[in-house]
Amino acid sequence: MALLDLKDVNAAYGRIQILHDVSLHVNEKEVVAVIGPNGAGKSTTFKIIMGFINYLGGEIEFDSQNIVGFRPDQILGRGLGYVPQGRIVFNQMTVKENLEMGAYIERDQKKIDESMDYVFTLFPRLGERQKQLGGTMSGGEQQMLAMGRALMTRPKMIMLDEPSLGLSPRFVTEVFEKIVSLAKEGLTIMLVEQNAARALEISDRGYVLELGRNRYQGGGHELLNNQEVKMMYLGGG
Amino acid sequence: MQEKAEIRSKYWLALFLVAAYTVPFGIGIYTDNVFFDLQWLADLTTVILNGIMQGGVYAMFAVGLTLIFGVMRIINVAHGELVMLGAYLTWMFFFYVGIDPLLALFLTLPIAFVIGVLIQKLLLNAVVGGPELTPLLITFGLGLTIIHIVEAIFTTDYRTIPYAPDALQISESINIGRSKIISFVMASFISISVFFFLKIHRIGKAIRATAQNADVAMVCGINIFHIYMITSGLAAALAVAGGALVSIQFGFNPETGVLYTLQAFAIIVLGGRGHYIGALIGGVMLAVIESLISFMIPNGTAMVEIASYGMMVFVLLIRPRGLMGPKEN
Repeated sequence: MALLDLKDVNAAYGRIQILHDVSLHVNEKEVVAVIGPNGAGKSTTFKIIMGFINYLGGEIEFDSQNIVGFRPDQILGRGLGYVPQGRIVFNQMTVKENLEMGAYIERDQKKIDESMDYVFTLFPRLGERQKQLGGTMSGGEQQMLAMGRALMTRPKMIMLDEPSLGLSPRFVTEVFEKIVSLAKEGLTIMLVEQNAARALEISDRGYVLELGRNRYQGGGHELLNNQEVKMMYLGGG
Repeated sequence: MQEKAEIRSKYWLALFLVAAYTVPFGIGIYTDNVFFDLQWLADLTTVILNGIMQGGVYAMFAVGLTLIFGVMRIINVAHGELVMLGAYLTWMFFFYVGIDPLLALFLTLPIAFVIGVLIQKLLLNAVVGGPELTPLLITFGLGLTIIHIVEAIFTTDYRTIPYAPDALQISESINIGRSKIISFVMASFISISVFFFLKIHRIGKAIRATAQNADVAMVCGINIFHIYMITSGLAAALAVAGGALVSIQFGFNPETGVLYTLQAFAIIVLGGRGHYIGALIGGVMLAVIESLISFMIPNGTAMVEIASYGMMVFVLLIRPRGLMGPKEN
């Protein structure tokens, strides 16, 4: 059954409508990729789920609950984590402090420590560099830190916005490997990617958005082999 | 290229500060106010110590200003009026209730916190994140309103609080007013407490996180409006504490707040806008140069003002981020 369910969602930046009747859903323990050209409304879809932009209409349900109008901390509290685009970490805070901020809504120190250990086993490099300032890490490490931060509340599902954007090939591979291993552990994942082929390869299903509307949908490999999708979004047939 | 310009600006600032500290000595020698005997050196030491003590207090309330700027990007020109309000609150508790000015902090600080929260809720929340001019003008109006309310109640007469007027003999020829020392110790204690609050406490960390990136703070589930409120409350408490500590050293009237606002601005520009330690260092540096000037230059009072604000202008020209501020975008 669907963990996250969007039905005919309309959303706007200020007065400019970006999403037009977008519908998509993510089942429990699924990996779902959202792809499409620039300006398709991929990141916007995440932002409307988090309540960061103007909601115009439609249904947004998470875990069978309507989350329209929820504050980010309430959404996080329901178990939906979010990693924004651009590897944004707190530059002047240490790795450890960054992770602590990820667990801001958690008051139980024991749980925070456990989550911290969990993140460190997942990303050993973060464990080795607990005292390093976020801003002094490499792009790939910052992406790991941002993901680790989103995992600190031990969410049921995370949304990753362009996790491989601007990373060196080595780190791109590493990020995708981490996503796969998180999925294996049973985490539900939705990701937006410009690296569409790579994203579809690791996804159970995918959605193609164009100009803020649903265009195609289907299984990850099905979309990979779809001639039209190939031509338009995957760089040639 | 940018890296180079960055380093160059650092050296220029250092050079400028060295020059600024040398000028009073130069003028002092030229005007025969500098004597290289023991008595003069003892006096100089007294003056510098006094400057440091004063600086500690200025630094403390400047931290409040820098916090608000760092977290909300709001330039709060009513900050000095809260300092003035702190002086009057302390004065009222002293004369009407008979409470020791330092003990009164236990009452004035919570009151200040509530005032800060109210200012945030009623005024600043509506304009935070918008164009920078609106919050500036709002706090400008608020400051003037506070001045005139206080004036209506207390008139423009100067008030003083006679407190610990005797001096402490440090060595044979160096002595410092006891109220100055008490103020400095209190200010240091408060500054250090706030520093550790920001460093260690969960909410303190969230304040820093919000200052660094409010969007990501929201993603982490930090309710940034809650953080804004606490920041404003804290800033108001620092200002009022500053007011309490200057009230036991100097006279004050409803208009003295303006001077403290300007002082705090000069300090946070020098230290680096939004930087906590920068504000502390800036506060001490500014107060020391001010006391050097009034010590060595005849008719120093006007010169003191010229130096503080001249320094502010030059720092902005040479290196807008000041001593320790974050890089400008």
